[in-house]
Amino acid sequence: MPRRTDGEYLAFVRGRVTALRRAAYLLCGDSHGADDIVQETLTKLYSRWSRVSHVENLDAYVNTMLVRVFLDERRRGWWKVALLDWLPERATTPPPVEERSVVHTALMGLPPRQRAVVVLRYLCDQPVKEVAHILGCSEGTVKSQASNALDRLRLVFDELPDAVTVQDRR
Amino acid sequence: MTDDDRAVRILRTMPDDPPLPSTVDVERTMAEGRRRRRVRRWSGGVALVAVTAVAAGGGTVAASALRDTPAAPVKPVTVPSKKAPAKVAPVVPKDCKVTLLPSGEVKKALVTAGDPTGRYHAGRVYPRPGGVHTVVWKDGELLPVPNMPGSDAGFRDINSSGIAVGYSYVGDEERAYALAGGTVRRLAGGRAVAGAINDRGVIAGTLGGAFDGGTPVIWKSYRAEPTRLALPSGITRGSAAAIGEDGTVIGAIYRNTRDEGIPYLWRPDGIGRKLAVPKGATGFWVSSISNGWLYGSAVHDAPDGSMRSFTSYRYSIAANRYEKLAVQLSNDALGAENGWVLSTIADPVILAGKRIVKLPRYNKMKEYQVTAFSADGKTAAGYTTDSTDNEVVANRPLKWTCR
Repeated sequence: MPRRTDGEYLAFVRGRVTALRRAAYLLCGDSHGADDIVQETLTKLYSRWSRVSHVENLDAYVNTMLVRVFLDERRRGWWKVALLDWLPERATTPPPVEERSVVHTALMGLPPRQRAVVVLRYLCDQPVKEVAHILGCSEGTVKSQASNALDRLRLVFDELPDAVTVQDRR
Repeated sequence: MTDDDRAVRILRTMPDDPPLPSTVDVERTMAEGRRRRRVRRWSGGVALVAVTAVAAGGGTVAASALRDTPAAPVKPVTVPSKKAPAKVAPVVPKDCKVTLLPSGEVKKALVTAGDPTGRYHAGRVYPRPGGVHTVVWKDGELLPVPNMPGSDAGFRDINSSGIAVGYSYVGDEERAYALAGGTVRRLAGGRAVAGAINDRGVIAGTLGGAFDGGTPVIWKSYRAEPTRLALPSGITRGSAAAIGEDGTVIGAIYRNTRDEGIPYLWRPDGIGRKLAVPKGATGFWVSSISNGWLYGSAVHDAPDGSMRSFTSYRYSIAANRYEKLAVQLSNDALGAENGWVLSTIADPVILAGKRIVKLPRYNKMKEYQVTAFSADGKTAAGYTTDSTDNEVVANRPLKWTCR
């Protein structure tokens, strides 16, 4: 008998899909991509559900899985190739670039690993030690990546009047 | 830097909800999760059996479930043993054994590549949380080799002379390295990734970023300057990821930054062409090259993009012909020269013609990635990815040897 039930899974997931989509969207910058990452993370979680009862901090566990899915997909993406010159369109197209915020665009301008550091450290409020664990690098690397990322973001943000910050808040 | 930093404050104003409504399907996570559990249960119990393959067709999976896509369960049937004629390779691998490769005091380690002879394996160990150290094994023993500099270092391939190639990061920039003669040296060409090396010492890789394509190149040796591989007219970005013993290079070309990439083949004389697609498929993902064959998965996308399914194929470069494999494998299929294919159907398996030989588990662990297959099909390597109560991902480096 599973030590965690389907009912507990549903209760856990339904309360967190929004936050997981948010984190995935910050990482990959694309609604559909974010949903794919969350879908795969939750599928993995469910397939292990009966075995995770000893995990004390389930949220941290799931966040780690989510970031690993994102980075694995990016890494594997190098191998993943489609033949056609087009990609299937989804039912709804994303908003045009100009409707996206300056902050969003700046974040997406960071390379994937730097972006993961920024998202985990500043937007998911994970401590440096935890970020290092999730990303498989040293705490020093996390600090230097965060510092480099913020330097790059400052180049963009320093051009912004403070008012833009407010406009970005939708 | 503090949390009061203006850049951090501005970041935190970011409207962070995805603009489109959610398509996350919780019911489907449970259905797919159950299916993965079932497949694991099917694979439980027996240490090693030969099974009669049942054509599994394309296992339909959610578009998101790009990894771990095992076939529908097939019924295990013991195949009567037949005495192989002298000097003829056995029809299926036999007497397969699993061994844990040594990783010093460190438990968490994995194998990332192997050479055609099956004697050399490359990998990495995690001496402390967040730390990574690249390693090489010869005949199952750790060699005293220097670590690759940089963070998140990993070898992508190793040849029969024990020359390993791979890359690491400095900040967010990739740097390509080769380990040769007991020395780790950086490959020429600036920011680069090295993807593969053949027994002639020719290295295939990409200048620029690893993820979105750059300039596909070969290095004729680890000391050589990179030689650019020609891209078709109008294309500016590509990547080179694998190289055959004859110098054929497999990679991809990219039309734009959001492109998944179009698989591309450069002949040993440098002439390139797009790869054909299996009939009825929307794409083909190559996972390995061996003896003139490519192994991989045909991709089938639903017209509305809501579903993506896969079918395992191999492709003859000379004949420009696809052959469907007898069963659906994961997207990590590695071919041997005799046509055997190493992959995972939850457990690690070798597909020999129409027969599946399941490789033994290590320590009752249930989740595996395979990363190396010798040219004769008798040595395989990979690692576990189980979650345990103590570890989110419990990696253990493994080698399987068969007769």
